Amino acid sequence: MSAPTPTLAERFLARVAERPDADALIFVGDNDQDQCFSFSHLLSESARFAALLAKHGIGRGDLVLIALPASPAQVFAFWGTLLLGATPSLFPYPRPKGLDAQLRALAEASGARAVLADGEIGAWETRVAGRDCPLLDVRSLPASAPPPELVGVGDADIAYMQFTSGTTGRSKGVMLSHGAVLRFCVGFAEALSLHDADISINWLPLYHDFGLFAGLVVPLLHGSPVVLMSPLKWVRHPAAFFAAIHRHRATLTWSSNAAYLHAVHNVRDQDLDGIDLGSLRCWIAGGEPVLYDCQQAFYERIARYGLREDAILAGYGMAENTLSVSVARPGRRVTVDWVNMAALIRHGRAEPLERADPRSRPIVSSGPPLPGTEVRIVAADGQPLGKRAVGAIEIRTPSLFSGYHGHPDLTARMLRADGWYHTGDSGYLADGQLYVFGRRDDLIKHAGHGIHPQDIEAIAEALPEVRPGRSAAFGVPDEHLGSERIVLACDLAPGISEADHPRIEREIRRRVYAELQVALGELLLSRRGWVVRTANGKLSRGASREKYLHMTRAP
Amino acid sequence: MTNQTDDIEAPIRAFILNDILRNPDFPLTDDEPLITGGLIDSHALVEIAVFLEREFDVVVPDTELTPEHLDSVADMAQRVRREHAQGAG
Repeated sequence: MSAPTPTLAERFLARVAERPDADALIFVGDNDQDQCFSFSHLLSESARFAALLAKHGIGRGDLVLIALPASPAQVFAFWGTLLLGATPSLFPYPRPKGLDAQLRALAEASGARAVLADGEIGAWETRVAGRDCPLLDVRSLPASAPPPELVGVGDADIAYMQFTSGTTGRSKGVMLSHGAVLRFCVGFAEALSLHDADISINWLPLYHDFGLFAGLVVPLLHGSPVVLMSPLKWVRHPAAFFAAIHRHRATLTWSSNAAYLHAVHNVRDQDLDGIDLGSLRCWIAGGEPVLYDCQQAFYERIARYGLREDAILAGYGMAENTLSVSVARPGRRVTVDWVNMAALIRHGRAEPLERADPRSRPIVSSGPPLPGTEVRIVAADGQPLGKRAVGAIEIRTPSLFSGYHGHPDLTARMLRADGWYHTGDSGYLADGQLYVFGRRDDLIKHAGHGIHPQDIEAIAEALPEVRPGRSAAFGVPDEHLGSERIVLACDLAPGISEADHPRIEREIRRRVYAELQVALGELLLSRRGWVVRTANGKLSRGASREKYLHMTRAP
Repeated sequence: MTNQTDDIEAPIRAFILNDILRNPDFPLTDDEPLITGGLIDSHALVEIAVFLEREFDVVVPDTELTPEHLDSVADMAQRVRREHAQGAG
């Protein structure tokens, strides 16, 4: 691949010029009707969005929130914003009622200059926090418009803003420069040996880094076509996704660990009759730790439809690195490390064991680091550790973020002056492969989303019945979900009677849903002090989690 | 909670308590908001739709898998009854 040009828009236009009539975007709609757009068609549709934004004064460096459903329009809005030298950010969709207020809060906190929506948002004040932030309805797009002249955007300008975990004022905007994203595209394409004949297919939401960069930006900027399906359709009709792989002879796709089990539980044989998945060379899972049992169950369920075992791979990444830090290389069976798990927890060393040994547990490799990416494992005091020693994962890569929007202190803490980023995850290195199994600090991995426990605890502690500083939220493995279930434990204020528990439970659950759109898996209310604290009175989520697991473990 | 029309509500309630909430003791009422009340995740609506389709021989299109349409046991039972009434007429 040639050296990257400085911006995403320039690189996109170069691809359009090279292959105007080649397929760029195929959207699998309802009833499996495919909508196809060539590279030149994609550009002309995106130019209509650019014209609408330009009419409202959007230009270089302005942040545009895109609140559209999974659709071709969502893709056009993304490229249309970039054509103006502005910064797009995709907002989660569908928006249940009540999320409009969050979109507004995000527009205020992020300094957005416009919101693109499909007209289903209620009353919207054009002035947000003392500046203009109009709500632009995609039904008011011009019928056609020439692509705008490119403005002088540089390598260090912000290409994309990824909001992490939640959509409220508490979420952080990860700023990614054009240089970081383009360097990521080059490294990821090299790691996967992406070539012109590849056809990628994706149902992951584009408002997540995994769906956006792996599922859309990398393949398009490489010049290969992208097949998209809405996440809702995958949830409802997973078999339609397999049919689309077959129909388009797709070669690359992406998923979460939870998606493996969704396919195992919800795909019926009669729906897969005649389907051949032999074209796939990569089915890469990430976004949460990939579990060997889930991967195996998926392979055993789907193998008879021609899925190659060496296509089932895993990777590791985060929004702060654009996406992947490491990814397993296609064409080789995934590496599984069988280790002594008890020794790992006690001594912090991943000692290899024979698979047959009853003490051994499998850990799925997240692959070797991407080209140009440095990974090191460090102890609590920051000292680098050797092979097979478990510690905190730190990375130094060409695709790191420029900082958290409006949070210079947090940025300085996580992204240090010497270029190393502290991921907050734990893992180890062995034989050039990265193994990740720890949580990102206390982050709860729930169905592919990262949930900050502090957000849930703050909601509970806003109730007068809950003792301040005495609630703990944590994730516990859930075999049914293939992901983590959220548990919240709260110590109640004195004088609360047991008869009040259902009312308090309902109120906490209602507020958690209203703010975070997730449901608690379990809520423990205690009148006697259940939550574990350290000797100096600090909340210990880890110890509370251990206590819960011990309490619920089958005898 | 039992009444003469409980033939549809009761199996739905039992499915939600046992298979989704996994807490058979929760005092769930028929008009209680499930999604917006934070009791179940919106993606569990898919499992509930599959249950309704299998148990009551109805078709629930994707567009109805939202809290606006199916946020309570009562909503779900009403949805089943409406389709049964149409089928009979």
